[in-house]
Amino acid sequence: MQYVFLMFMVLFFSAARADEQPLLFGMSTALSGPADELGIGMRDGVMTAFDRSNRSGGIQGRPLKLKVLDDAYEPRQTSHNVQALASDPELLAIVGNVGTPTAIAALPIIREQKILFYSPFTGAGLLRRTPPERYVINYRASYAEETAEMVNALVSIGGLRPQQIAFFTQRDGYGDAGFYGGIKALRQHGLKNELEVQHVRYERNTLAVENALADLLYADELPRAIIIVGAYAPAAKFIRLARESGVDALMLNVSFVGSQALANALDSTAGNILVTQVVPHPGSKKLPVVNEYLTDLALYDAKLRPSFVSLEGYLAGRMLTHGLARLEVAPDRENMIDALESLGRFKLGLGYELQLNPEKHQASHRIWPTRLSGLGVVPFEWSDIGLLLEKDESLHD
Amino acid sequence: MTEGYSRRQLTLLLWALVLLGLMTSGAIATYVGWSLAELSDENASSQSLQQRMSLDIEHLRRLTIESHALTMELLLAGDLSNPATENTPLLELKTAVSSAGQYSPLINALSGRVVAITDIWERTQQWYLRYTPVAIDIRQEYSVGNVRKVLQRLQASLDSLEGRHNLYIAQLMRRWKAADGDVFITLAQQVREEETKLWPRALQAAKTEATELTRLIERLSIQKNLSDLADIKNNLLKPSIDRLSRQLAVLNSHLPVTAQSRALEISPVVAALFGTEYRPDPVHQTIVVGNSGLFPQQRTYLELEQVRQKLLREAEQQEADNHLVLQSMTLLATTQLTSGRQETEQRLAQALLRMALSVGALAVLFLFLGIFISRHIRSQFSQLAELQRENELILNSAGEGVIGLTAAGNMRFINPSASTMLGIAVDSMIGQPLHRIWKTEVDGSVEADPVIAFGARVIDKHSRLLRADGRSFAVEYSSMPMIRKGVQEGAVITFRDISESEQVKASLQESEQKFRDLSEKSLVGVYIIQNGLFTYVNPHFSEIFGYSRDEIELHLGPQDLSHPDDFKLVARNIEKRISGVTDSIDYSIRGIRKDGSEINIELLGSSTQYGGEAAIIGTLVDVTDRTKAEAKVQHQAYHDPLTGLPNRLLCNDRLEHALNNAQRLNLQLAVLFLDLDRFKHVNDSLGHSVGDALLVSIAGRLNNTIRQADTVARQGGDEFIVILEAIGDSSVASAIAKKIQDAFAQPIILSGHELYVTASIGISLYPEDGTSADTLIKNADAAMYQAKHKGRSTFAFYTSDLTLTSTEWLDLESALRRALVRDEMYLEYQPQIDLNSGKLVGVEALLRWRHPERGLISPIKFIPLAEETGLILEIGDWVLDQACLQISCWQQQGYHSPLVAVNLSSIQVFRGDIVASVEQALVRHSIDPGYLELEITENCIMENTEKSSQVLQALRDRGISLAIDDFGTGYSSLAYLKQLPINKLKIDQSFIADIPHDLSDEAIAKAIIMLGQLLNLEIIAEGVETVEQQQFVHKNGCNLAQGFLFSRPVAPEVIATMLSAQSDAEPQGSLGS
Repeated sequence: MQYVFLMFMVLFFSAARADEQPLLFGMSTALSGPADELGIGMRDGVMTAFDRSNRSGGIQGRPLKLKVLDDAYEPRQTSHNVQALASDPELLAIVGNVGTPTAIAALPIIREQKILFYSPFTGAGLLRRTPPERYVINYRASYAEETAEMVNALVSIGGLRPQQIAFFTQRDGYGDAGFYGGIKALRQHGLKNELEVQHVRYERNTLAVENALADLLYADELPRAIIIVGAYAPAAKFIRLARESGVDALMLNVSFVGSQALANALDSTAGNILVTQVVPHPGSKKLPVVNEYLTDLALYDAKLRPSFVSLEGYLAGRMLTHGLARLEVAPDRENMIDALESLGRFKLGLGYELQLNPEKHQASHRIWPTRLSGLGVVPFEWSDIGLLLEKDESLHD
Repeated sequence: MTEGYSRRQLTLLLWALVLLGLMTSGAIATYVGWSLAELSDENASSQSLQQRMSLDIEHLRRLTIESHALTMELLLAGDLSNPATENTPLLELKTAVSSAGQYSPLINALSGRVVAITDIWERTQQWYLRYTPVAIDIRQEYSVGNVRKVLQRLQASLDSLEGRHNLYIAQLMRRWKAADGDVFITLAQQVREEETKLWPRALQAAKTEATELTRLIERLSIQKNLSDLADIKNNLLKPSIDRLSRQLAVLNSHLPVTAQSRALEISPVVAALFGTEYRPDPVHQTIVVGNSGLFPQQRTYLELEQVRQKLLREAEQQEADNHLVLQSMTLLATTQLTSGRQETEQRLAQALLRMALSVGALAVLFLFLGIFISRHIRSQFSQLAELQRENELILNSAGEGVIGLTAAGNMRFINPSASTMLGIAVDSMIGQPLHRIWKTEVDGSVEADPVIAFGARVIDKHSRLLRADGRSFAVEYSSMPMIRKGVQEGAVITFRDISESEQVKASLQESEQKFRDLSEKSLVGVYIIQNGLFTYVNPHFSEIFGYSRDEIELHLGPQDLSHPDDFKLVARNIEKRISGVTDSIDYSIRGIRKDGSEINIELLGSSTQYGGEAAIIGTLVDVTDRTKAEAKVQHQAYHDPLTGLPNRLLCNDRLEHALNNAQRLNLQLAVLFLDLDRFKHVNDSLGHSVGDALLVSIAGRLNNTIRQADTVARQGGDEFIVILEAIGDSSVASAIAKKIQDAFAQPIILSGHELYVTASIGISLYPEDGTSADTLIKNADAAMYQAKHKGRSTFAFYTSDLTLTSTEWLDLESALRRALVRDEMYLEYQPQIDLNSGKLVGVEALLRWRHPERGLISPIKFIPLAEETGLILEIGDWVLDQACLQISCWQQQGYHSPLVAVNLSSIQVFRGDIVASVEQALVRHSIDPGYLELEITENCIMENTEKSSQVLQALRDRGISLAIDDFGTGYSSLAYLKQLPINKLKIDQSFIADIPHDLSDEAIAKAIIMLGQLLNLEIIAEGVETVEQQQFVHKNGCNLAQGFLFSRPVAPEVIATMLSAQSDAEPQGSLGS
């Protein structure tokens, strides 16, 4: 636990008027540990969006301020942090939490304290109830939607049988979220017995993936595609070991893995690793909001590189300021939720409509597949998935 | 009368004044007496109350302290040592407070305290009832013991299973060690088989997992923090149970039947842990837990612990509050005793002050009443005077003459208008009898008017009055007797001069005469209709219809002279004008003359008054001759003069009409577009007159072939259109097309020539292929071209993919011309990779066109069009310019720009000045030519070897890199290749696609690579999609590749992210090896 240290950041923006009381938001995220790249990206993205708002005078003349605490992706630390943040009555919402196990730990406190849990970097089903919980509002698509899209592409376009798909997941609520979504889609494609689909796991915040791989190797038939619901470091190790063991299955990762981090961790074996994203490629300059993101990011801190993660943080931040701008009275914990719910169908400049209302607390449902190639993270089309599976097909002919 | 009323009112007011004075002084006296008595009473009772209160307060304090002590005892009953569950002090406290109802100022605070004390006591009691069983369970470890027990049972079963398996293996091993020969080998195989079975591995995993679960359960049972329970449940327990149950399921399905044991089940563990209501919730990726079992028990326990803490805090707080309230009550009791007397004195002084104020107020009231009365009197008088002035003003300003009479018939007043009209001064007439001035003239003789007998009322009577100077004037007058209470008090006569309106009537008659004179001599028919009959017609009108005027006027109506079919229109128009919808309407109809012949007439009618009644007046012209002339012209305009068939205009018209019909009645129709094959030869070889004659006889054959209701039209030249209406389905259209072609089978003999004619027919159908006439004709035309392609003398139905190849070709061309201006084109870039280093070294620029309506249009479609129309020159220059701009962009962003390859069309090479275009683009963006590569297809070079080698040499001289695209698809000779100044060969993707399945493709690819090496050229493989393909080309010496394996074509910003990632990863090892 020595890496869990408390980081306290209070950031003021000089452009906004100093005499106005700032609007305070809190964030408990991973600034250290195996998911630090994600936590830092989320923080930078949200701050970039806040910076944009503050440069034009903030909300009702009040600047936006973010108080960031580190939880190192450990649920017990998250519950401490969220308790501490929520007990400040001035703090309006908890923004941009990273991870599912951490969200699971935060949720009871959120319900008890009646404070908004806004756009966490997770696609867990626990945060997406129907009808939705008042105090949880998501920006991004769910893991179930991500894995369902993978399964649909693999089965409908790639022509795989459900039994040819395996799951490698983190052993906690995050892994469960991805696995259940994938299994549900597989059932729709005719899977009857869940045990026919291999499901192997590893422990959170460890690199102990060998047992999981061994389980796969023991099976009678090797999978043709493996859906990975994990963090980038264990995922990278798993992929490397699998390739060494002669497993040439297509590896599909959900967005949480952090595609750039995964690409950096793998030094070769490009060509058959996919990562689904819940935001567009940060190079899609044709989308107005991505263009604004690139400009704002450079203005906020010229040293920062664009990334999928910070773009997600940025979009969440933009959606928040978009909602807050609707308020004519001073924002508080309750009317802020009403304001976001009143957005209805709206556009952020992504080329499609987002939607928030009292019955819908998840704004976006889009998935963008990408592929890791020697050139980094490149856009991908599901219609091409056959090319990645083609070689194996011929072996079975 | 008003004076009397006013006096009475005034008296009343004065009496009110006196009464008010008396009443007020009485009230003041009563009030003072009452308040003094009240004050002394209150003083006495409050003093006794204060004394009793201080005694009561002590009693209350004791009760609250005792009640609090009981609450605390219950809350702190950690050892469950049967604390008291009755709170008698609280009951006493309640009675004491409810009987203390008279302490009005403090009762609220006090009863508030009692409610709070009761509330916390009751909550503590409820808490205690819930807490006891849970706490006992936790302390005695019932639930956790239960989980441990079932888990141990499971572990024991697993252990025994493992033991049996180990024993079996050991036995096998032993026999194996002792055996030899075939038995040795069989046993060895058996051992190996046993070792690789799946279930022993699942058994191991299940054992590990059961141990892990045991650890988690111990952790749960000592958990002190409620907020960590969600983490333990969803992140730790759930995955562990999932895995254990999965392993057990694997075990149960793989175990030999004999080894199966009923103990290998997860459900008892889950039930002991989460209760029997346990079930997984896959949608929200969590589990639903019940009320019994270890987990709910632990959760309830922790929740209740939290409630205990909260209650303790509250109880402490309350005790402090109670103390505060009681303290302030004591303080209040003592201070009130001393302050009681002072207060009474103060109140007395206040009462006196209030009285003085009331007296003052009364004096003011009197003063106001006095002022009010005097004002009232003054206003009464001024109102009276005002009324009189107004009356006079009304009379004097009236335009009519007014004379008022007394009962005796004398004049009471005369207004100025009357005196002016009669020419008499007012003053001299007042009091005189009326007949002195009222003299009417009847037929020149003057007589006194009967109006003098003013008992009767006279209204609007006309007469002539004599003025004082002897002149007379026309007058209209009324007389109104004034009757009051049944007695006549006089009369009022009003009158006005009406000489002017008499003149208007005379001029009206004059204009009527003028109208008659004019219309009698008019050359157009003029008529007036009233009540459906002509009441007036002029001579020309009767001439047009061949009747005499007397026969028409008052005998005939519009229905007798209109054509029966047109009369509805006439009647409708008449209706419209009468109801005032339209002012005048101009329209033409057919009329019927007396002799029964039809004529065309044009008429314009409008509504008017005639003889005081509503009428229609109109004019009418005979246009019969003109109409006939027009019809002739129209026929010429709508028919082809050569064949007499409907021409293009009429054809469109008929088709529109037919479409309307089809739409209304939900019918299908077909349009046949017919074009004669090789008609031009006839014209060229036999002359135009024969050609014309041929067209005429073909028109005849066509007309004979089709049905009566269908239309044949000549579209121009040798093109005809046939419209088939109301067809059941498309087979009718094809049957008729067939019939037409059969009809042409017989030769046509003209000027001794035997001519065989064939036709190609295209068919489009409504509504499938279009709903407008234009679209249907256009699509039939497109289908006709298709038929011609298939071989002449055939017919073809329209299909939508014909669209681009023929009809929309023109649209596409004009869209293409606008595409650059409208910014619809853009470039994407596909990376080219150095296979040795794995780095991006070049990109190929690819042109994209996004049409605003049609979306992305494939280059395969629009590039040939651009080449055909020459637009490729302009587009090609733009592409070069964009590519150079992009290079400079990347450089400005701090990247090392890759080599950018741009494709050239053969048109650019042979027709344009490509060298100048390239130079301009390079200079404009200050680009080093080394960054630019131009790709030319092999076929382009072979088109004109001489010219192309010149152009290539010129480009090479300027330092631009050159590549041959699609290499291997043309017929280049080695000798020729050697002479070309090129740097690079691109292996066409068709040779790469089938590697490693097609051996001949492999051989070609290998040969191209060898050829390149021989000529010292760089080689790049296009369309590399798989790792095998990459490995194959690399192994055979090709170091560059491009294709989907690396990246599809992407936006320049994505290339920038790749360049950026590349510069980040600079120090790291290579990718490709």
